[in-house]
Order: sequence, then C-alpha cells, then structure tokens
Amino acid sequence: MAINIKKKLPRVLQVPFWQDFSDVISTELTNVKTYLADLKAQTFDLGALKAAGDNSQFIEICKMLGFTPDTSLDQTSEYLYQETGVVTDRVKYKTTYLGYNIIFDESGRKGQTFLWYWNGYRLVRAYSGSNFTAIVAQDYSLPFEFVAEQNYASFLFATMYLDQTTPSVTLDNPVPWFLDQATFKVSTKHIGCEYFIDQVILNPLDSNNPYLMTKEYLSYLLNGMLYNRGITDVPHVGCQLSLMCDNTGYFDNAFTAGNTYSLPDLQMKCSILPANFDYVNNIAVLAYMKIGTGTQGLKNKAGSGTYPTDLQIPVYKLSFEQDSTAINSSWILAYGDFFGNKVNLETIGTGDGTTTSFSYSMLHTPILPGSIVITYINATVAYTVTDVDKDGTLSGSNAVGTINYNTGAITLTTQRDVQIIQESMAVTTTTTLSHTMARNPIVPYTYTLFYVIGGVQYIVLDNGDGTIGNGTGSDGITGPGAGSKGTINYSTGLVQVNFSGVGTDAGQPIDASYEYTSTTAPDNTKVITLQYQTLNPLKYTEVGLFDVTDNLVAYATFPPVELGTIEQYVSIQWLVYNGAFPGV
Amino acid sequence: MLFDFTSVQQRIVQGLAAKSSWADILYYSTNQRLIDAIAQEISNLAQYDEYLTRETKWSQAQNTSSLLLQATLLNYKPNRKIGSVGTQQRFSTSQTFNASYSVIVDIPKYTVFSDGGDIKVSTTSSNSLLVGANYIDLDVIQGTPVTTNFVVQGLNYEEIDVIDSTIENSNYEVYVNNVLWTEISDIRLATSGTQQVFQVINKPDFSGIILKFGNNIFGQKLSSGDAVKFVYISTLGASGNILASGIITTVESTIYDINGHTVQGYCSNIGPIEGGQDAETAESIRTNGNQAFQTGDRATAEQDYVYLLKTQPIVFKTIVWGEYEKGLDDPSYTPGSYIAPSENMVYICAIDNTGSTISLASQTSIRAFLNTIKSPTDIPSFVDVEMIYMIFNITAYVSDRSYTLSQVKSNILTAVENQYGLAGMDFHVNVDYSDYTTYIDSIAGVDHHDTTATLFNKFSFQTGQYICSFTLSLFPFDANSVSIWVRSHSDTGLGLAGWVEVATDDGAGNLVSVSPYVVLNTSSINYSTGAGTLTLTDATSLPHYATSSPTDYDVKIIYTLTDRNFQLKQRWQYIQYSSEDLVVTTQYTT
Repeated sequence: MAINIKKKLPRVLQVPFWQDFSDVISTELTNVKTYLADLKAQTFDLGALKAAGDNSQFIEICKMLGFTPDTSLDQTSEYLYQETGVVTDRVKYKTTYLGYNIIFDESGRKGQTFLWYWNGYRLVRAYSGSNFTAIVAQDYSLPFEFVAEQNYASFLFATMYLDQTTPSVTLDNPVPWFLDQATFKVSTKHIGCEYFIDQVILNPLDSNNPYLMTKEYLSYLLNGMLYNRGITDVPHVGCQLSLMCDNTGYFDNAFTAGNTYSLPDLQMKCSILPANFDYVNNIAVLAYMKIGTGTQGLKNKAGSGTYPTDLQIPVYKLSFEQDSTAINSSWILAYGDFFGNKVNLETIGTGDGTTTSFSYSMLHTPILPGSIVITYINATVAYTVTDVDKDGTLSGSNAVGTINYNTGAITLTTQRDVQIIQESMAVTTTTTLSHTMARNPIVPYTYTLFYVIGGVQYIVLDNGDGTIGNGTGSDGITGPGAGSKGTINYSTGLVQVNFSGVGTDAGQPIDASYEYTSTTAPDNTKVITLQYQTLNPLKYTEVGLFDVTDNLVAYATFPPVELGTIEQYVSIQWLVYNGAFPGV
Repeated sequence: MLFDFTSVQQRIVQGLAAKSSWADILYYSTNQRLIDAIAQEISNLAQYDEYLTRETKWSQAQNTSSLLLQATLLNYKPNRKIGSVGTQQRFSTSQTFNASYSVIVDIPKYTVFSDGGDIKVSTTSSNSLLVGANYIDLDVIQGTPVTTNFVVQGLNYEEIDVIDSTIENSNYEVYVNNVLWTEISDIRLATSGTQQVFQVINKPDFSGIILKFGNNIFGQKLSSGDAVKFVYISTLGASGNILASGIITTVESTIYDINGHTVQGYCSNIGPIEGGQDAETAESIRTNGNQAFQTGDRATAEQDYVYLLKTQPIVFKTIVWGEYEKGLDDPSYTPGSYIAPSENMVYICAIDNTGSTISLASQTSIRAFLNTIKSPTDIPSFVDVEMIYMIFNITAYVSDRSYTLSQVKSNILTAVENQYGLAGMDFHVNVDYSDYTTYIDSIAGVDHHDTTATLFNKFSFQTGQYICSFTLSLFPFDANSVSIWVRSHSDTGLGLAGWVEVATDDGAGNLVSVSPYVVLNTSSINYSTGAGTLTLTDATSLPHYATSSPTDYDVKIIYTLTDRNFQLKQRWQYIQYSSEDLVVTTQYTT
C-alpha cells in the first residue's frame, strides 16, 4: 500500500503548496518501503528469487543451512530453486532411502539404491526376486529396470517363527538351524546408488554425441552419496544396463522388427548368436562376460549382417562366480558389475619355454601407478609381478622389470637373483664337506658359509673365483682347493670344504646363505597376462556373453557408457528369453 | 533505485519541480533546507533499515551479536575465550628442583602461578608433592579463579546474569547451597524435575553469560533465598599463550604442607602452555552454526561426528573416517573394497589443545557421550595421532629500512605460529614447499628469504633397554640427512638445548655412533620404508644416566625428505612446526 501523508495534513495546510509537497514526500517514502519490502522478501522467497534469476542468493541460503549445491550438471535458477527447497529434506532424511532418492530426483534421472552383500568372493547387489515376474509383463522395446531388494539385511527367513508347527522349528531342534547363513552371504555396509539407463544423453562435452552415461553424472551421484551416507556406509556409484534378447538371433526381434535398434530409446543392438546358444545347457556353461570399447554389427530379421566371434576391442573380462547366473522356465539371467577403467585383456606375449625377456606397450594410458599385475606360468606354477612402491620398478619373486606409467611401456625379465637366507647342509662333526646347494647357478661373491670349530663361530665368504676362505688356515679351512681354500662350482652349486683338525663341532649346524639366479621362462604357448587401471576414462560400447569354451553366446553394442574412476561401475544384466518375443 | 542522500534529494526536487505550486519557490533557500533535511532522514532511514535487514541474514550479518542470537536457532553455542593449557608446570620446594621436602605438600585446585606480571595460570586439580619427590608436574590453565555469589528469588526458569567477558569457555562450576550442580546443553532436556542441572547461555557480544535453572518439571527449580556460587576461570584467551619454557616462575598462591605450615615454593613451566583462543569470530560462528544445523545432535554422517566431537571441551581438533576412507587410503585395497574388520567401525583421532591424543579417560567419556546419539551399530574406535614436526630455518632479508630487524623477526614468528602452529594446521593437511616459501615471502618486511624445512618425529626407548625401534611414516629421505638425538625428561630449553646427538646415518642405511655414545652395529634405517632400529650399547654418557632409566628419555629423529613437499599418507597424521626449534635470522639487504 502506498504511503499517503497528504491526508494527515492539518486543515490549515491543505493548500496546493503543502499537498504537492506531501505527495512528493509520500512517493519517496513509498519508494523506500517498496525497496525494503523487496529486500526482506527476497531473503527466503524462493519463487521470487527464481523469477529474479538470483542464483547467488540461492547459494547463500544453502550455505546458511550448511549445504553446498553441486552445480556440475545444471547451473540454472530452476535447478538451484529445487536444490534450495530440498536442503531441509536432505537434513531430515539423511542416511535414509529417502535421502538417497533426493539425489536421483535432483539429477533428473531415475535410479535406485542397492544394498550389497558379500558372497564369499565379491560384493554383490541384493536384487528383488520379483524381477523375473516383472519382465514377463515388460514391453520389450523399452529398457528393463532391474529392481533392488530394499531393506535387505541378511537371509533372515521372514516367515519362520520359533515353535511354530509348520514348519516345525524349535530352539532345541535336532538339526541346528540359524537365521543368517553368514558363512555364505554376509550383509555389509556397502551401498550402491545406480542410475537406471533409460535414455540417451547428448553429451555437451563431446560434440553432443549420444551417450548412455557420463562420468559427470556419476560424480554428481557420488557427491550426493558422500553427503547423505552414514560414516560407516561405503558408497558405490554406478548405472545399470539391461540387455534383453530372445532366441531368434536377430537384433530387431519380433517385437521391434524393422527397427534400427533392439532398444530404440538406447540406440542399442543386442542379440544371441544362435549357433552358440543352448537354453537348456547355457546356465551351466556360461562362464564370463567381456566389455569393450569397439562396435560391430549383428544380423537383422531381413537377413543382412554377420555375427561377431569376439568383441572388437575387448578391455575387461569378468568371470562368473556364484550369484552371477540364474535361470527359470523362460529366462536366463547373467549379470556382473564392471568397475571403471580396469583392463585385464591385454597380453605381454606368449612363452616358448626359453625366452625370458619381454616388452610391451599398454593400450590405455596413462596408467594408475601401482595398479599393474603381470601373471605368467612356469612349470605350471603361476608367478605374479607388481610394482608395490609405485615407482616404475616391477618386481616379483622370480622376475624384474620396468614400467613407464605415462607411455605404458613395459619390460619384463623372468630371471633374477634370489636370496637364500639360510640353507642347512649338516648338523654334525665332519672334516670334509661336499654338498650341492639346492639352487643354482649361484651368484659369485654372495656365498657365505657358517660353521663352528672348537666353539668358535666362523663366517666365511666365497672369493668370486670359485674358492671359499681366506687361504691362511685361520678360518679352519684346509682345502680341497689350492692355497687352503674350499671350492665352489657356481654353475652346479657343488661346494667342497676340508676342515682342519677334528673338523666341525658335533651338534653344530653347517649353514650357508647365497643368491642364485632364478630363471622362470614362461611355459610354451602360455600367455603372459596383464591387469591394470588406466587413468583415462574408458567409454564402453560393447558387451559379450561367453561360455566355458570361449564361444560368444550373445553380443550387444550401444552408445558409450563412460566411467570416470574405479569407484564407478556399470552393472550389466543379460536377460535372454527362451523363445521369440511375443509380437504386437 | 538508490537511497543515498543525493539520490533522494534529487527525486524530491524533481517531483516538486513538476508541481505548479512549487515552481516559483522551489529553490528558495529555506525550502531547500527543508528538502535537504527530509531527504537526509529518508536516506538514513533506508540505510538503517537495510542495515538491520542484513543483520537478520545469517550470510550477511557483520555483528557477532547478530550471529549469536541467530545461532540459537541453528542449535549452535559459540565458544567464549578458551584458556591455554599446559601439563608441565613444575613445582618444587627446591629452587633447583633437585631436593625433596620432609612432609607432604598440598597443592590445591586453583593454585596460581605467574610470570611475575599479568600472565597467570591456575591448577585444574588438587595434587600433592610427596615425600621423596623432588618436584611435581601440574596441569594448569591460563587464568585466575573468580568466585561470584548470588541469592535467588525462586522463579521458574530463573536466570542469573554474570557480566564478565573473560569467563573461560568450559572451566567453571555452579554450586547451589554448596552442592555442585551439573551443566546441561538445554534445560528442556532435563529428564526430571529433580535433576540438579543448569544451562549456560552466552550474552550477546560475549559480554558475559546467563545461568538458567529449571522449573521442577525440566530440572530442579531454585528456591527463594538459595545461595548460588559461580566459580570460573578468568582468562586472557589467545594472548595468554606461553610458547616458551621457563616463563611461569612465580608462585602467587600461598602453599601449605599437610601440617598447615607455609612452604616456600618454586615453579617453572618446562613446556609450552598453549591452545588459548579468543571468543569465536563472526566468521567462525557462521561456519560452525551451519554444521550444528546439519548435525541436529545426532551422529551419523562424518560431518556430524566431527562437529559433535568438537563440542567436547577436551577435543581441540579431530578427524573421523570409516571403511570407505580406509579403502581409499590403504594401498593394499581397491577403493570400495569390502574390508570385513572395518565394517561398522568409526575411526576417531582427536587431540587436545596441547596436540596430544586425548587421554583414555577422555576417550571413555566421549564414548559415553556418543552412545546416546550415534547409530547403535556404529563402533567408535580411537586412533592415536602421529605428530610430525617441521624445523624451519629462515633467513629473511629486509630491504625496507623503515622496518627494524626485530620487527620483521617478530612478524615472522607470529606468522609462522598462525599458519603452521597447532591451531593453524589440521589433520591430514599437507605442507608444500611452494606454500611455505610463498607465505614467508608475503610477511610484512620480508624482501626475500632462504628457508629450509626438515622434519622430526619423537620416540622413546623400550622399557629397560636403550633400544628404539621406529617407523618414520614419511619417506623416502635423503641419505646422510638423519641424526638422532636424546634428551632426558629432566632437561628443558629451546631448540637442541639439553639434547645430545647419539647417532647419524652413514649414507648406506647404517646408524653410526657419535662419540662418546656407542651404537650397536646392527642399528640401521631404511631410507625407502622409514623403518629402523637404534640400539645404544654404551649410553653411560647420557645426561642423568646414573639416576635414569631408558624410558626417562625422549628420542628425536631428524631427517630430510627427498621430496620437499610433505605429503601425509594417513588421516591420523598431523604436521606442525616446532616452536622450540624455529630459527629465524633477519638481516638487511646490501
């Protein structure tokens, strides 16, 4: 309401002069009133702030409440308006499902919170048993969302009560029973928030090319989780991608015949390879999945196209363990979680039984220091080589090498000097020692002999020339070598020493320490495998499902799923229908 | 639209100029003065109202009093002045601290010592100097005890104002009719009408406090005529920090033995008395108030734990982490790994304002505090701090001769304390070479400087043996940079005073003797892993050897990192500079 002081004028002053003066002053006072009203109203009137586009005030309000909005995905007033409005909800629902749901809501993407359990081998998402039921009613041209099992804590059997009659369960049951089969599955504090991939994103950071997921979305999710989680919760962030196909062998199945894609919303092609698919036996023979960064065609119903035999650019192989595959009367389910930027499908080379030096350049550089693990086989024994100190020096029990983490260049030598700290040769009294060391060849200057004569401990070294001892006799050695020295054959490991007098003391050990050159040439035809993590975010575009004889059973290709760090994952779920998808 | 005087005046003049009744007389001087006066008042009104409006906004208020009032709504209670504390205020009846007294000497709580001037410290508990003991080391807080007495009216929620801006933040006691009552964070949280509790509320601008009592529903109500005694420490806050030893050497209180006879006492602080702080600033309140709102008095998230732990008077700094962070930090795990032994664990590292891990008693107290506000499945587990000290050696060159060299040196000492002292640093904070060189370069009066920084850790000998097994957590370090020093707990002083060098490294990882001390030839240090062992086979030349055991000595290992950036590897590590070892030299440029 405008201020009007004119009406307060005394009657004697109600003349144009004072009335005009009053009008002008009233106008100015009204200006002040309006200004201050706006100043105060805009403090917490979020709608007014949005209308005014006052993003800084949104930030100020959030800060007052102790929350910093993540503007990495969206910087608009509309987004900040939403963010500011839910700060109190974030506080109210902190650590709860509702708190995690707010993160998805604010990102504008659909997602779920999965609890993870330990299956004895790895962490596994707890999913609902209703998924098989749900997929029956699924529109197969649309992405299928794999539903989490909420409030899962353990295998507590909800309908089991003590002393109930059916089934009969009592505390003194003759067969001991337990509520939680912790031996096999352990509930944990690990929580996974994952986006449901149900649309293509046009990535502004990559010429607006279509993506299924970007690392920026996943970082946003992690920031939200770090705010919302309890201190004991371990956050995981990822996305889920369901690959559905029927047994026709065409990516444009009966439901989507004539389409360019199996799932148009995701621009995805997906199909089984009929020659390798056997519904009845597949559950037993499915062995692993591979994920890669290439793309290949599949056959359509019209008959064009060919089937691949492997991924175009395979990057990582994930073997199935328990809880990874399932089957019901109509469907095969196989799933696994691929964590970002792990590589395990490169090989340094193949052994021939004699070669001990290898070199290789890794494909996905730069490399995370310390992440490399090289494995090779010698005489059926597996050896590993790592860089524990993360300094570019590779070291294993029987191999050495170098790695350049920027260029990916590796050198590997499966031969190194190995120290034997103590090898016992005898516990007796003797005047002559003739012993072949357990390992050879022995490295000159590294052989040390320990023995006791007359209660005196002697420590005698080799001279690097095939002799042992100082040649003066003061060390109790009289031969058999020239000049009162013992002898050592570095190649065969044969050590011969004559001791003076009555020889070494009874009951006292004769020991040696030395280094020998260990050669563990990789066995013929055995590949030298390599695992590492790259610091260059990978963009996954293909997945294959394989059986135990390495046949590709099913293949899918899709726009990139980009994972920024090893903490980010994509959960792949193969759902293969035993029959043709019902047509429409 | 602007509301300064000129803008308001111009709008009024323009408005009147458009009126025919004012056309001819607008510029009469009397009218102009009238317009000016009104314009000035309107401008003042607008600006004052704007000022008041801004003061009601948490993010824009400039006055501490505004934030203090609003902090209550966010469930936050800002701290008043905090007195510095020390644990080594030595007292003896011997001027040289090397003779005992014939009978027990009582040293009651609130016994006062001073520097002979304004800086006074008080004991925080009662102690006795026993027969046969040459001295006793006392816990003290900076400040003097003050007692105020009130007679109350017996009102519901009766409040008592205590006007004194020096009331220490947490060291006070309230007695009602000589019965000690207990503080509660909010009187409405009292669980019965008989609970003898009180609440402390800060007055705006920290000018004092209000003691608030109950109503026989929430806490016991005071009765008319009850005598309330409030005993508190009056402290200097930050200006009461004593960084050097040997400053507090005057016994102010009269000391008696158990027979009631006056005793001549002597004292000296053999360690720093530090950690004092002034009342919280507006910016600090703004930061902590948000956290209080977010936390809501329940410990679930990391920031909740940190905030709530900091509300405990004993906790000066703290860091909290769980299984997730362990997976991130430990190179033997992939981030996100399942680490069964760490499930449900809440790892807490907390230090007091002397930089020491809080005592086991304090840990027990904090567990009890957390038990009621944490998730039942959370398992708090305390981890000891690993304190790493920096030795700065600074040569500063001064080109502006309007600065005296002593001024510049003082500036440097203050600046280094502010930035790299215990209060300025925090857990898991790295120190980069470029940071400290740039920082020192920016100090007033410094033209340029040469600064080196080495590190040291403190260890102890094993019980009964002069053997010290250690693992330095930062590595690799330079060969020929390691020196090992030993000092008796009986010796004090700055820098290397009282320390004797017993060994150095030979550049090949062996620790070799420094005469007259003899080191076992298997003593070694691994430059790459930081692990090592020192064994003294001849320690007879150590000061006080005849009257000491191995555990009566500190072992200091000084080393130079190969990397001049000090990158901490664990969350419980904490770097600060060593004030005792700081060397500052100033000279004019030529």
